[in-house]
Amino acid sequence: MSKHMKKVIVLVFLSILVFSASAQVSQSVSTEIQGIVPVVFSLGTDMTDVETVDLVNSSSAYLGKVVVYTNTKGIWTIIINSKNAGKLAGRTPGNNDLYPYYMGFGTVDRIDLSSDFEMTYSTLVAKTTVEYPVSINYTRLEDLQQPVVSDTYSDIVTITVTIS
Amino acid sequence: MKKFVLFAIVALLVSAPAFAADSSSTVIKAVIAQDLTITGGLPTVPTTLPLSGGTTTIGTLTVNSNLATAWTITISSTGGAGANKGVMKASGVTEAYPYTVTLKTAGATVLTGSLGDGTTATPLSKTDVLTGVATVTYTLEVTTAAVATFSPALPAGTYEDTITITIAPNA
Repeated sequence: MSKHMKKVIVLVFLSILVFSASAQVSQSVSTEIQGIVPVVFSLGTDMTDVETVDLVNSSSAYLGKVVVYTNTKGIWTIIINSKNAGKLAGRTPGNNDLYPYYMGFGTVDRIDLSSDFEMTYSTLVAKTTVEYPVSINYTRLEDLQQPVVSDTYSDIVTITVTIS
Repeated sequence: MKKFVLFAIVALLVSAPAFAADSSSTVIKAVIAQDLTITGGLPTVPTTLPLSGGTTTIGTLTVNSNLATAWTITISSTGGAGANKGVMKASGVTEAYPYTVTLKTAGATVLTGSLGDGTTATPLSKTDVLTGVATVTYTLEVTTAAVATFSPALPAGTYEDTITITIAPNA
């Protein structure tokens, strides 16, 4: 084999190598996208500001429900506070009569609101919606051991839910 | 007399090589290497998509090519070390935040669709891109649904995915 032939073969071989190397090259670029879903925590109710109950003919009343929703895991703390320590108070000035009642909240019955009621609920999963029915139980007017004078009796109940 | 003739023939034979032609050749060539390069104009930091959804332009990238033949461009989901499979995912959350991508030039949509459903990755590829000697700018867009439309709702969190665009000469 002559020197010229050898050169030709080497050039062809190198050309094949160059072509092969280029054919296998790939390039890439990357970027990152993200969507940030904020924590949502809401407290709703279908109860009106004033719920009227029948003290004469009934011994209980369903007031409505409290709906709590969150999209994150956590522990809810629910505190129920009664302005009159669990009693309906006569609204007429000078009337100090009190009409006792118990509250039902969720699955808990006969809650004595002489002091704040507190319960916790752990959300094991996010996106939790929990409904708490709210009701009150009381003694019918004619069955009261300590009768009260004719008046409008009321209490303000505040339900607070916090998440941590 | 016979001897004289013989000498004349010998003299002709000897002088013949002095008139033969000679040559030398060489081959010259220039090798222009294949050039198919991608220059990222894509953000190096995460792009936060709006909660209201819609289409967001992520950025542009430029491809330089001198290939006379077709080449391939591929969009794939590479977030979560490849485990995201076409959706955005958040730490500690099993739900996924889906999206679609669109890669377009000034005149046409090159690729569009989903890169996967979170279970199976479905990279988008176009294998017959033929640009010749050209510089082409591509725009990458991402489309999402409004967070408020998800039912059930998405848990709170930062959902992420990485989109990778690859170009390669066809084999």
